[in-house]
Amino acid sequence: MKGTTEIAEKETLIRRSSEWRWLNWAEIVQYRDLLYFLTIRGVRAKYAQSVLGVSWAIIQPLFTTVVFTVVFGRFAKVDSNGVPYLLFNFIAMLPWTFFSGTLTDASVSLVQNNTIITKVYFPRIFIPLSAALAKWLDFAIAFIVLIVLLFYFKINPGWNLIYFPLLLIDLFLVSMALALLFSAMSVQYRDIKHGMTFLVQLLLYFAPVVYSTYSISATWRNWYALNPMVGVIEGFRAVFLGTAMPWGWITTSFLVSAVLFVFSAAYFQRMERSFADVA
Amino acid sequence: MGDWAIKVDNISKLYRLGVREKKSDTLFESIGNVLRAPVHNFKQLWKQSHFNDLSEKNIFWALRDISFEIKKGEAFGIIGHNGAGKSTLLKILSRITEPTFGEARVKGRISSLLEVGTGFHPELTGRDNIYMNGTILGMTKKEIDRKLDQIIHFSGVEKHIDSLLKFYSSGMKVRLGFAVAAYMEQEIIIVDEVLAVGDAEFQKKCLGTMENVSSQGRTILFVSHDLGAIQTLCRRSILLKNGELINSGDSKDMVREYLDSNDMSITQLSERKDRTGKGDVVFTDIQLIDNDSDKATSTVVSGSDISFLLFYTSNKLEQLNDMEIEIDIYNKNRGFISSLNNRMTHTVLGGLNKSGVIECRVENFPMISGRYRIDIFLNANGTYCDGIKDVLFVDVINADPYKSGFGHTQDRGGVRLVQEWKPR
Repeated sequence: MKGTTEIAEKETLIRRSSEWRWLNWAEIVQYRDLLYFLTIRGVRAKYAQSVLGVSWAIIQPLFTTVVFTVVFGRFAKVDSNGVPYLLFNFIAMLPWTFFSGTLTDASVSLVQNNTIITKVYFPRIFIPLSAALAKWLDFAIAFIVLIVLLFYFKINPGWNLIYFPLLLIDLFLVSMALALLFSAMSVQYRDIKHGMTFLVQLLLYFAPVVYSTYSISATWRNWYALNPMVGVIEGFRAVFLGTAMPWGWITTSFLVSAVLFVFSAAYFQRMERSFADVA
Repeated sequence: MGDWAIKVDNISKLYRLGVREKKSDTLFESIGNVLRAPVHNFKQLWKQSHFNDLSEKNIFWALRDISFEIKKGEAFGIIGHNGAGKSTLLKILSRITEPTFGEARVKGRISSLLEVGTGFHPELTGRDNIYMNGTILGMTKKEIDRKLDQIIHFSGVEKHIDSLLKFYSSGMKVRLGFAVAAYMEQEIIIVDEVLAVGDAEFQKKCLGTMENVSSQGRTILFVSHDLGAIQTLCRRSILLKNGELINSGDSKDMVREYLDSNDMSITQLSERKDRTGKGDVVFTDIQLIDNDSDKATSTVVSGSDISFLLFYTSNKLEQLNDMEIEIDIYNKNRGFISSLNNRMTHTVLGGLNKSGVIECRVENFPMISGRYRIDIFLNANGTYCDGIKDVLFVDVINADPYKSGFGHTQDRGGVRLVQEWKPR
């Protein structure tokens, strides 16, 4: 491979790299401590000098859920499969907040960090990756609220919980795939930055957050599940409500996000070489 | 093979220049342009990183066919004007940006110090920022753990190490950043203009550290406007001009050649319209002469003998019996530094031709390194005739005439005095 460090001989060849190349794992491992500190930096910086601090991680999804519960649960009477709408919606808000937060933060991350990018070399993928990793803290905090809600509504998830880690991997894969794509694009095309907030808001209605996938007619359901967030969100519901796991959708979600991830990572690598020139 | 550390082979780097937008004449045309804009913009943005047709006129060669070799353990300098391609070259060797053509080989871990304190975040403590900056420079957490105490001690900000960086003074930030850099273990270190910050004592500390690093058998690639520092530190250098390699060899020769090549200071003064005064007699040109080489220049070494040549011509007055000329020197922030005036020296400029040249000679020009702005004024036969601001920018380069390694920089005041010391 071109443009990489051969650690054994410690000789680096610097030249214009080939158009498409895959992630350089050796280098990612070599710089892993940087990833850790970039993530810590992201977390600390976000909640610095804020009165409510990490409470924001609870306030944001919880209040959105309360509003949705009033609008869609009470007024529009959206079917929540017999589950209290508040819980039905909040379970979906967990992965959704992670997904949308990662997308908005990561897509501008490279542009925001252009001072670092133009001054020193390191695996550029760490910038959007650390933005995504930092989001797990918010996720963990909101997760505590979910546990409280489960106790309040006296719901026992049962054995489905063992599949939870699988869904977390899927969620991270989907989020990273889009984050890599959009962050690399936004370096050259700042339109991404302008469009992202808007896009994320729209996407909410293309995912089963305020409604259930089961309310879509059976003929279209599987097509709908091509949206990788469908498998993740319905998977979350099944895990915490103890209903049947929608394995078909989860498999689809994994496949779609894996393909998307491979493409995005390759695109990111391809764009990476010009980041310092156009950032 | 030989024991080289960096081998650069025909490296070129292209950038695309901004092109002036087409202006529309009619409303219809401008509506058309607005509609076409997204397509047009997309093409422009796309082209920024794609080069197919090298004959396109808006392509700019930041570097062109650069080749050289740096030996292991050598301190190597890069000299050149702003825009000569020095920083681009460093960025390519630090792998921040890729060359468009050519290749380079680097043996060993490389670390680039293009800025002090890269990655510092105001909302983190000094201690956390050491880790942040250190890992960005390619160190591992373990390496930093081991050297943390030394780094903190070297930085001299022990008392504040656990307060947030945003409460640091700019000097403290620089110290902390340099302290991290001083403890890097990479075999090759690339340094760009780092010494331009901080006070003189700190700069001396930095230079000392770099000499230290170099004596440990590590390789240093060094770019600076401080030609004195390059001469002290680097035995060999290359000279770049407009992206091309002009010469390479002994640093002293390269610095000499660089100073000699600064022969372009002919301001289009006659074109200037932003003048004050009646205009009976006007300036037509100004030149700065380095009296050692007797050439026009815009860059002078602090302490050298220089002359200002003032070209004037009279539009109305037939007889110039009493001319008074003043040259005002400002620093780059428009702080008034000094003023030269023929009346101060009791010199009468009378009986002059309708047009001619007046020379003002200044021996031992005492300004310290930096950029200076020159304003000029002219009175003829008791009438204020001409005044122009910023007619010339003079870049002064630091000198070390006593070979002490103790440069005279901004933090030791504004002027450098000739001095002699002895016990008495």
